[in-house]
Amino acid sequence: SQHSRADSLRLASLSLLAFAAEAACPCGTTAAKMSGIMEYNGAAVIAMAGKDCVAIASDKRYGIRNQTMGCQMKKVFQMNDKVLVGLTGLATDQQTLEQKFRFRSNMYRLREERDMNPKAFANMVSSLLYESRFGPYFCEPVVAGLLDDNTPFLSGMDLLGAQVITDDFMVAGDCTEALYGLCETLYTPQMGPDALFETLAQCLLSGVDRDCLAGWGGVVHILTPEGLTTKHLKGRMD
Amino acid sequence: RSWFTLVSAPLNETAPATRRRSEWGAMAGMDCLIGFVGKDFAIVAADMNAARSIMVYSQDEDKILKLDSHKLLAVGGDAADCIQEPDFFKKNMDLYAMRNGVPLSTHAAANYMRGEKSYNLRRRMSQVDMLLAGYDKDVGPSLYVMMLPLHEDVSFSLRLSLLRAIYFALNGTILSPGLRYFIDYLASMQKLDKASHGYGGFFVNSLLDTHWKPDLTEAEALTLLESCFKEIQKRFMISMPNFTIKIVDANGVRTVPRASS
Repeated sequence: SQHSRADSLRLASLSLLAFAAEAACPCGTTAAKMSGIMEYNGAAVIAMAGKDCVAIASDKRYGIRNQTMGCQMKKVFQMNDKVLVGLTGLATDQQTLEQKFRFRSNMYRLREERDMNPKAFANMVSSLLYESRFGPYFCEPVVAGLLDDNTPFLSGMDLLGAQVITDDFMVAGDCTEALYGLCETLYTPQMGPDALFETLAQCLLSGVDRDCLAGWGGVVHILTPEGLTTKHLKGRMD
Repeated sequence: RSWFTLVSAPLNETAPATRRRSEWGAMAGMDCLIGFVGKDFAIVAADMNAARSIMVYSQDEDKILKLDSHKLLAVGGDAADCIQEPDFFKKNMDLYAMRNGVPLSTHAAANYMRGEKSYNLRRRMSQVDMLLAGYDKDVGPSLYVMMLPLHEDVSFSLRLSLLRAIYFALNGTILSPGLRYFIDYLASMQKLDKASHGYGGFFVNSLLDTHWKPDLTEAEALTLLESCFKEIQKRFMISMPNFTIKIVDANGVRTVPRASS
């Protein structure tokens, strides 16, 4: 009888919570309401693949809704020599996830005595996000890296970890429509690092000009077998 | 009270999401906190109103807490959380200093606080805006900001995700009061040169953008603050007659009296 009382409690509480969840939403559709949270802070990240190199760029805005608080926010992080990850979405989750990714990457390094390669890292990110399937981190990461034979690797996922791997470019953020159009037109395969930087910078700056929630400068990281180069972009500060 | 009673409580009690924003720690946004970094000091100012809804209880409340000899924490938001949360941080930081013989640096303290806040983010409700200003010998003055949303639908989304997490995570656990209290603020942290919180911040941010420059002297900083106060008093509909100003520099923390008062 103890067991069945717990069961009936569970049933009652679950239905109550479900009801509260529905009642709590004024507009009637919970999915639509949730989308506001991804635009809360504002971000734009593009990653592109070139010939034996990969580049990832982000804007630098730190804002709360329509108010900009700072212009030096880091959204792309280097996890190891061959992996970079750019995070969009809610700023607090960006920061929490960066720490979690770094932790897992470092633990892998200690255990395996080698760096995590980008494919494994992307899979790790995907499963980390899915671990919180029913209370997710509101973050959409883009993973860019170089595989062992220096071929570029690009992967992007949604906030639940549904991964897609491409060989040309990957965008994430608020203004993806604008960024897709630009990348589609300006991208050519097998670009060298300089051409890649130029293309990526133009795509980012023009794309975020169409979005009031992203921009205020940009930063591009170009990863080649020789190492990482970081360049800061001067853009419209509005 | 048994868990059985909680489950059958009326819906109003169990669905805080239906309350309007003004009922959530009614002070959200009403506290005006301003901070920026000068030549070799960091300065923080806060209004002195203690109010709820339409009533002002007191106009000499000090909202800037001295965390340790070289750190200041200005807090705004829900009145109870503004006492409890910084207190918790302060005690833990004091314990660290006692155990390790060296106090936390400003950067470390900011990251510690952000970690605690992000841990609590999907567990309990807490509404505290923070401006941490500190001075370290090697780094100089710095200002860290921890943000709070002023908008309902974000907290709703977090609440909803928490609801869903609870929905699917209940495996024979008793539905305790703790599970019903939802987070209502976000724990993102940035190191900035100048920042302001609250509704007053809407007025003051642009002033700071125009008139702040690196290496301000103390006199220039106080002039800038006075112009910020004047703007708030002119254009913000909440009356804020008094402000606290505190400075942290190499010599530590001190309160600066306002020239006009």
